[in-house]
Amino acid sequence: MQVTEPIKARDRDAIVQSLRAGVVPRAGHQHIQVGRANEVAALTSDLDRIAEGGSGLRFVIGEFGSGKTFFLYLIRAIALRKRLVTVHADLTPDRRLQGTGGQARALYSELMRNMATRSSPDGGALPAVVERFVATAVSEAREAGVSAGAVILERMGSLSEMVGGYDFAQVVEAYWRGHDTGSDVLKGDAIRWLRGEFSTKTDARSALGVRTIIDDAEVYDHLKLTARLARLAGFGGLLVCLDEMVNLYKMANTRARNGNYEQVLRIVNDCLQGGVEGLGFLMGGTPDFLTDTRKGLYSYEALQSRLVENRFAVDGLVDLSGPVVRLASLTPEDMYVLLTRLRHVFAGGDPSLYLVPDEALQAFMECCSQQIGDAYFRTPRNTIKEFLDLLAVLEQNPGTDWHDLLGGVRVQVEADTDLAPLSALEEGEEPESRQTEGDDELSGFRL
Amino acid sequence: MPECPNCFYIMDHFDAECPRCRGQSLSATDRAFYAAQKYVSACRMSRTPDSVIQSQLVQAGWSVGDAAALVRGRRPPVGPAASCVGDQYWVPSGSQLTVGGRRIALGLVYAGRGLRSVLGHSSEPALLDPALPVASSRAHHAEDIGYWPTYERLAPQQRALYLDWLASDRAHPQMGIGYVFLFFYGLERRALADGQASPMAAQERKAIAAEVRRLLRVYGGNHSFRSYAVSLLDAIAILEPGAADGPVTAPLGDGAPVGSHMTRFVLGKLVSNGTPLPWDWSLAWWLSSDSCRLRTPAKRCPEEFRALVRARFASRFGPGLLVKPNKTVLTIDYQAASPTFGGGLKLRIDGMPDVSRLQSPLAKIGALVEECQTALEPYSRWLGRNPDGRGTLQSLASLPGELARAVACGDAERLRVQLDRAAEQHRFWAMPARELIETWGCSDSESPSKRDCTAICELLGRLGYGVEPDVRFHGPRLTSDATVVVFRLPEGSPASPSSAYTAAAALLHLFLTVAEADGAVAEEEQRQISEHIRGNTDLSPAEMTRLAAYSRWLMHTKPGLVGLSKRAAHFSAGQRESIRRFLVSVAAVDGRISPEEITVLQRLYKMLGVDPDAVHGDVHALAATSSRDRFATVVRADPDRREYEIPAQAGAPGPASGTVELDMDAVRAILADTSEVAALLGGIFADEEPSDEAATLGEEARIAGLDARHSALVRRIRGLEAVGRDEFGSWAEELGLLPEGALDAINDAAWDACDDPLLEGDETLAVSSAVMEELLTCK
Repeated sequence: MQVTEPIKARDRDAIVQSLRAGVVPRAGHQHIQVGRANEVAALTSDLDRIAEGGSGLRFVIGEFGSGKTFFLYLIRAIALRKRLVTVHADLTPDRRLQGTGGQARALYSELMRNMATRSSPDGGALPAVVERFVATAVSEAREAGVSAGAVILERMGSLSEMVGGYDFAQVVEAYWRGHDTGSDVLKGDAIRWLRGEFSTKTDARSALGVRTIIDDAEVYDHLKLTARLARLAGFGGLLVCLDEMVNLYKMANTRARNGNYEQVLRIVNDCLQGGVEGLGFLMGGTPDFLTDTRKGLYSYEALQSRLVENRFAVDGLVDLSGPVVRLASLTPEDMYVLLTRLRHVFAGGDPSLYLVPDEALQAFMECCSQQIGDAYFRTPRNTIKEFLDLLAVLEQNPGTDWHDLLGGVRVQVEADTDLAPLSALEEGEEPESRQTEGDDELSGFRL
Repeated sequence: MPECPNCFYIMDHFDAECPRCRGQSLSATDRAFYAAQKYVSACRMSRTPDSVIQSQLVQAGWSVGDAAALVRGRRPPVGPAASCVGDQYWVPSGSQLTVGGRRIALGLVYAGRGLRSVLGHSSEPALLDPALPVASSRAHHAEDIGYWPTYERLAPQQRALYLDWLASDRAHPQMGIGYVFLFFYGLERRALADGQASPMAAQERKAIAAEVRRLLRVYGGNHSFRSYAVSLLDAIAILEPGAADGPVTAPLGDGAPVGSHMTRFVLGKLVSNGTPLPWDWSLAWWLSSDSCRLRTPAKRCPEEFRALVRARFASRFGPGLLVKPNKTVLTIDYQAASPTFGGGLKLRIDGMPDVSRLQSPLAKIGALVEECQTALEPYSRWLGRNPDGRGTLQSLASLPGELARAVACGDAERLRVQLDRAAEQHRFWAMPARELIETWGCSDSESPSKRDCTAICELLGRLGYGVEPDVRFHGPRLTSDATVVVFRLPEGSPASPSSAYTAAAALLHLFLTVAEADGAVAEEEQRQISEHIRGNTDLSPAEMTRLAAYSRWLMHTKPGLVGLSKRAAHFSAGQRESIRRFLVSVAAVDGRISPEEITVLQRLYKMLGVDPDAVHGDVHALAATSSRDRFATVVRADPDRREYEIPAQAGAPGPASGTVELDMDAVRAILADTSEVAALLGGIFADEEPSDEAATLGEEARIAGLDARHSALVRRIRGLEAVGRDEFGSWAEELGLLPEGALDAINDAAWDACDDPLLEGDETLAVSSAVMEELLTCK
């Protein structure tokens, strides 16, 4: 543990605020990552391979609340440090890998909006990536004394052989033209096209002079093109993080579901056979999504045979070379370490500012254990939130004794809403209501 | 004088019976009143000031309002049926009281001793307790009194300040917001807690709302106060009897601010009535939702933003967005500012759906809003650079089309009228470029920059007209002595050339050059040109119109191939090779190459810097391979198409010398297969002087592995604490860099050197001085 390293106020606030709100923080993951060293190492070596122009694919499988999302964020943060470009999105009923009503395009748009680089880790980095590529072409053109547009097209020539590559190159060239002629409209349209936000070919043609748009059918092809663009722009490659893959499992329509699995198969084949350059995928999902033979990935035979796990890796033995990474739940010991980390982060990395002694951590864990049993470390979200709330109270009320507060600790078992009945969701309305409708407030009244 | 032992009535003389109480037993209220009355008159006798009498009455447990009434000799108007605890302490609007020696004339406060909070755990925070000491000197306005202030916990100097403020017109702009909140707590409790129990309090809600609106005008700059105040106004409006049936106004209709509660309420009302959601409430929904992300364009140009949302909403959803009512009942979760409630209240409104839980309509609205923000980005950026430019001709060029037409601008109107008049008589007409340039008002009116040319073309596009040459379509820049061809743009005209258009235009240029070789362009040749344009199925009708305009400009201006050889010098050997092959195949499309064509080819070769004698070899090579087989057929010839003649047969007698007959089908096939060449050709004819607009740089040291331009940009930022994004952008452009890319590259270098970014932020980029220092020492 790096106990003496100070933690930046920005990181501290990001971590504390996010965790107290029950969501994964956007930065500072390294301060609170606990355990799972092998998994992280395996994925880090994947990232190295991608950065060298290779490819990679992992399914990150874990139970509800076991920290899949956190793990994906962590890997994404590492990928950014390794100078990869990342894109990430959650799948939803309206955002899938395959669709006929714009669902795949919606997923693509979301991915592109969330494009991040080391310098813009919060997303919105697509213009930056395009401009870095264009900038290299411009400086090359400047030295050679030729037109930058021609250099761009020449350097992107290799993309023309890929599906959609010709227009992709044209649009990047149009971005340059927009810059060159001072037309912000043209630049904006080029970015919109690259983000998959044009919905009709007519619009795309009149704005940019290209015949195609990024359509539901070409989402994966365009991810490949974007990966190439990232490499041309001087980055290592592209990491695509898809979370909540369970939404595919939840689809009621078999044909639509299989259509999506077909896309997954394409990706699996390409990435595992090295058919793509500088592109990696991380897909987060629950065990049902993977192994259910009726509706999960295993229901699609071709995927089952590719993804079936090493039969010897049972009972604590692991094989981290396969495409499936199973996240083990945290242990009570992990939880203890996590609490010490949280205390450390809360104190801004200064041990002299620790708000509670070590024995309080144990007492806190016991307290949680009495209330919800093993769930306190298996699905740690609520435990973490409660612990940080406790620290917050201690911080704001100096002189309070932690013993007194411990009695007020209330943790709840988290309900798994991922597997909520889908009929309601399919109709596209009212998503899950996570908060319990407890009318414990005073003075509720009717009108 | 004798006094009735029962009711303290002062009798003239000892009677058997008191005329007031007639010896009957008194109710507790009466007894208290009579006792108080006696006390007041006793004090009067000893010339005690009224304020002291009043405060002593309050200390004895009377509410301030009642004490004031007693001092005035009236019986307090307390009706047991219409009262709640708060009523006894509330000083209504317009009633006076004196606390701490301050005469407070405006009322609207709780005063007295012993009122508990709504929750009951502590005393009411907003209660003015006259027993608490008030200093003679005041605390400073700006002094922070912390979160959740209570009157009880204020220091005596702070009480003095607060009471003085209450006694004034309550509008001192510098008053610490904590005090304003303390006052607000009382209003909130009166409207929501008392208002539920007491009809009297409910009637006061209007006056309270008016007071809150007044406070908002004075203190609305504070975000926290604003949000609580708006939320209270919402709650009051919702609790208004008949609010659910009343008419729906626009969210900004009467100028009253609208918060998320009111929005949800109105949405529910609209949806349960089956009314489609109008644009303004739809926008209000999105603004109050979690997905609301307002970016610079919407913040910088709110008027234009709303106008654009309105226009696009109308074109997409017509009268409004129809939403089916859902089952969740609307429950307003009111978060109280005052700690008296210990959190908030829930107002459940039966029979009204909670529309805000629906995701898919919101997603539709969100997509529309996002689109509008994106569409306004160019305008917003332009406005950032020209803050006073609203409504000028220049601003129109970057406004989205729908808005540009609506903006009243004298110069634009004059130009439009002039163009409209010309368009009545001609489809295409020539006019001096000088006129456009002067209307526009460029800094350099002799030869405007590429940016100015783009903007002129975009402006004319907004007015519905096209210009040739157009820099956006690879045309040369405008110069004041040039002539341009203007035409009315058909619907859906492109703003950027397709590769088919680029190639067709390049081919047209070549063709005309060759045709002109023998002097004038013959009629026959002109006919061929228009057939060439009309016969190209790859072009949209709008592109054909533009191409026709381009051909007129070419014929008028005769730009020739001047400069071709200069530019061709920049082509790589490979590129030159492709163009060569293309030229030969164009010449050979009719299946034969005439001696005249060979001559023309030789001229072109020379211009390209290729040995003219190579033509013979190339022609031979082409003839030797079965030329037709090399071309993939993209579009089958349509025999019913009568717009041009299909050549009878390959190898038929060639056309009259001096003209070049083209088989357009074959040309199209070539074009489809050689799009790369098309782009190159576009490059030849485009006005492509290498952009020398970028500043030339001295030989200064490079920073942290960055190139000279990026290093210069870093040096430019040195010493600043922050830099606006627009400013950063224009500095980058001055150095010939692309802003977003430059930002990313600089931060990347900073990450490499110091493990931290140099510039961070959205609209304003904060410069980390520590990183800057470290970076500058890095070579």
